[in-house]
Amino acid sequence: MPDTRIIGELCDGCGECVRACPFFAVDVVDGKAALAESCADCGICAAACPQGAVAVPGGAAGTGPARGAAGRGAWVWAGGDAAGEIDPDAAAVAAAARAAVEVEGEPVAAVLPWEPAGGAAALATLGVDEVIVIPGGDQPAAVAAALAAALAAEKPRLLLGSAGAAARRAVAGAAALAKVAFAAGVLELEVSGAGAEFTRLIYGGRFTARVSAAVPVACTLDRRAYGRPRAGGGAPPLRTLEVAAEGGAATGAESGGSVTRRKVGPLTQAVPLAEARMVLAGGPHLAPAQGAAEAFALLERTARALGGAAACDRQAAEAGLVGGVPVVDAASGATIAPDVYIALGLEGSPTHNGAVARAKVVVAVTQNDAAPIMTGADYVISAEPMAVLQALAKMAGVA
Amino acid sequence: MSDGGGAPPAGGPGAGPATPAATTPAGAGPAAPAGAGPGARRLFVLLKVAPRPADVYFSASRAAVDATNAEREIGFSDRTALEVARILALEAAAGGGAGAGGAGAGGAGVGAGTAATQTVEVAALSWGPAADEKVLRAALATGATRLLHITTPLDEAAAADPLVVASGLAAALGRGEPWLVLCGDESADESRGAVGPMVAALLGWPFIGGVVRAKWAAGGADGAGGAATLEVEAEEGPNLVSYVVRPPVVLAVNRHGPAPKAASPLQLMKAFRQPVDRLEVEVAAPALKVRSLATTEVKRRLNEPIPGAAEDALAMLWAKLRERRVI
Repeated sequence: MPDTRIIGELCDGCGECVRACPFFAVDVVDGKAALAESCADCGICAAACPQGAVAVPGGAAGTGPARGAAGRGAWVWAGGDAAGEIDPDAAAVAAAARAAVEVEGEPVAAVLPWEPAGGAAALATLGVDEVIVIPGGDQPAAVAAALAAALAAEKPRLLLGSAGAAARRAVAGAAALAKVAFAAGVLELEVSGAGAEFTRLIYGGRFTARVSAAVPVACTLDRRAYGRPRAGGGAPPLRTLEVAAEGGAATGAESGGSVTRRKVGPLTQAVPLAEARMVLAGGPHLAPAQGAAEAFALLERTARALGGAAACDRQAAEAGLVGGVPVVDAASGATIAPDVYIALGLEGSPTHNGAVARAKVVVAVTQNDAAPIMTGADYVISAEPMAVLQALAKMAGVA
Repeated sequence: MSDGGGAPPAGGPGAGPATPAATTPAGAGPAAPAGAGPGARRLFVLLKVAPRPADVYFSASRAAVDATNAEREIGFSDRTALEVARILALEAAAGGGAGAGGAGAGGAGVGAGTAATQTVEVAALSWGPAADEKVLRAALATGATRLLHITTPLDEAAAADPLVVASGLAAALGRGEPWLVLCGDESADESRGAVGPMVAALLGWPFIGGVVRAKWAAGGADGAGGAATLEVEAEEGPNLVSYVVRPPVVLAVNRHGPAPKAASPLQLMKAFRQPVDRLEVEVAAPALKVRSLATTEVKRRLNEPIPGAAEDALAMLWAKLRERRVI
């Protein structure tokens, strides 16, 4: 049972609480508000009630998600993979954060576990109002614990991270420790009053779900939700926030576990498909079967030279044409959102087209005018796919 | 097991498998693998069974998705994580340190040497409806020595909230004395990778995502001086990063790890005779509320033909891509 109570003498049944509740847990029955079992004691209805007819229990913090207790502003996780690094997508996430909270003129801060190696110049590129350094060392558990403690201390309404691994590690970990609502891969985000609504993809990208939660909310963004970074501006003020992990939150040191980053080298293969900004995908019509192995090898080399990744559709994979090239297909959950997706000799099955629906630009290279990929493409080149691949390879400097 | 979202619990409890199973009530007793020796290193692999996305449709009312008739499967990355664990266990038994991971690495190259005194056990842990046990038994046929199944019911809102799922898994792991936890970087129905870092944070353990390879460092499973360490390679953006890892730690394996092993019919038959440890955990209140669902909006595309032969068309395409600031 919820601890929140409706004060019947004050309630006039206006329904403001019904409209405000993100959990659909309030209804008006016989002219008075009534709470359902699903009430999360978040306090949003109390804030919305013009009659002051909702009594919210105090002292509930720590027993459940720390909802309904947010302060102001948005934080953007800007820590990169290694000490001193800044997440290359932090400025784009900061722009998205600003769009989410700008209606109420709230500040956007970048949070880092270390002072950036690039100094003030690096900070100026972030387009934020403030930089907060929360020293957490280089152990992921300690970083997440320090961020969680900082969230509890300063109560920003939003904590956003990029689609990168470092942001996911820190933001998801801190949300778990701080018991803050968390969603990954958010496509759209709106913050209004004490609630937040966002859209995310489910079931391999076949459906979108509109989800609500009471602030504070932590999210990692899908690349398509990134904003356009603010140009110019000076270095924002920087402050260091020393916080102690609350409630004995584990920091990694107690567990005895540790990770030591030892050596960094380029991937022997192209950029991971999920993270590639450019994807070259081949289908069964890229080349005749007897030349398919060489064609897909050229596809991989060209993609790598262009800083992207190679892929294929399910039909090419099932025909055994492609070696180790990964499949793009919504049926197996392999959906991608590159900036540019170039489909060479590929028909475009519904599950393939669904998997690339989030690409910014789709290019179809096919001589089949009836191929379904044609309708799902921004640009269509009706030339021989292998000839276009060879031209691409030449342009990329691939022998 | 990388996401809380996406897969609501399958409808109905279904007929449980006609095989032995033990249930551990909430909060009672450890969930440690029953056969574990006192000094065993326990590798837990988190597995998420989810409906195959292609089999999921909108219900007639369009207010919910219908996965009733969808085939349920363990995600590819989760199965890759199980393969990493299987190879680590094999290497430990052989006293070698050739490494688990990398495309095509398989179990080949297991080094010769004296078998480790430390037993390494692989336990699969999953949370979902009892009917999923039929799917999960494939894990017993492909490397897991124990199967622990959390059968506490999850409603749709709770199943879609990664914090709820991570909290339950962390609670179960806390009772199981794990030495290393592996999971997939993405699940069968979503590819968000939220649960792994959340479980790590709740346990207070380090976390590495994008893992493609793990092998025993010097000393194998016994370790040098009794502290076994692992050498782990992970994909981070455009880089392949090497780590020295001292467990306990959570590793999320991506789909570029070793190819998952397929179970033979004989292995599956044996797996169906093995017991399953059923667990119950407390379910936290979900913080997320699904308000509406929609089919993914198909972006309106330009459908602009680019004329000319290959090289000319490509030059024109590149100019257009530059204009749109996508290259």
